[in-house]
Amino acid sequence: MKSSYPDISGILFAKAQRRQTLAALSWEEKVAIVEQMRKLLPRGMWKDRVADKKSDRPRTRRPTTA
Amino acid sequence: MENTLAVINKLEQEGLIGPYAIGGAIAATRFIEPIQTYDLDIFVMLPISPSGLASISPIYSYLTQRGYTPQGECIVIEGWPVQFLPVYNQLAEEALAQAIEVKFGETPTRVLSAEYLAAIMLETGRPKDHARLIQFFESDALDLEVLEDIVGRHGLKGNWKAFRKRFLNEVD
Repeated sequence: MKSSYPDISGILFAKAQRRQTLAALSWEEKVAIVEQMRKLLPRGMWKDRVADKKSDRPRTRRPTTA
Repeated sequence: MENTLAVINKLEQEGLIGPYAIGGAIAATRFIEPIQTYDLDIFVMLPISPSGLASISPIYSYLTQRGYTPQGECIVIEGWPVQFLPVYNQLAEEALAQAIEVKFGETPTRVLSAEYLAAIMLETGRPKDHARLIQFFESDALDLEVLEDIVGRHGLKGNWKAFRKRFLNEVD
């Protein structure tokens, strides 16, 4: 039996458009977004998440220095 | 970020550093969509001491006296971890010399051009450099003639050829 899969070309198109929109922002606006990303996921947090997943420990919410 | 750049400009005005330019992800963000980064890379020409050595210590000493704190390989200036990268080869030196004068908000600064950033990414060659470089192509941010001139003069033709073959689907 042949599987049928949904067409995701619309999703991919929307993602590409969003990337273009972001790239067209001013440098200051883009750096402001980068600053937001830094605040949402402070340095060391990502490493903690990977380590926590591996050892199956509960996730720490406290950022550490990398 | 603007306050951070103002402090770095003061370092330059006071002779603690020579000319500088923003590189790395923050420079790349000028040309492509915002990308995750934790620090601000500053390519810098350091003044040579009487002993003939270029040292980053006077910068750290000046900044720590003003309350800025080292964090790993960076020093946090006005909320941004800043990594000072003394020019480490001819490509970096030329990239710094050819940096573009821009303003961030109202603050004047310099940033590496898209083509020199691309050449440095080819030279460094980590997966994240390749991923960023692909974004430069997608954003049509590069003057290929300029890039190929840089690539040719800095021994990066092999890296460039391998990148084109692998990521731009070009055949030999």
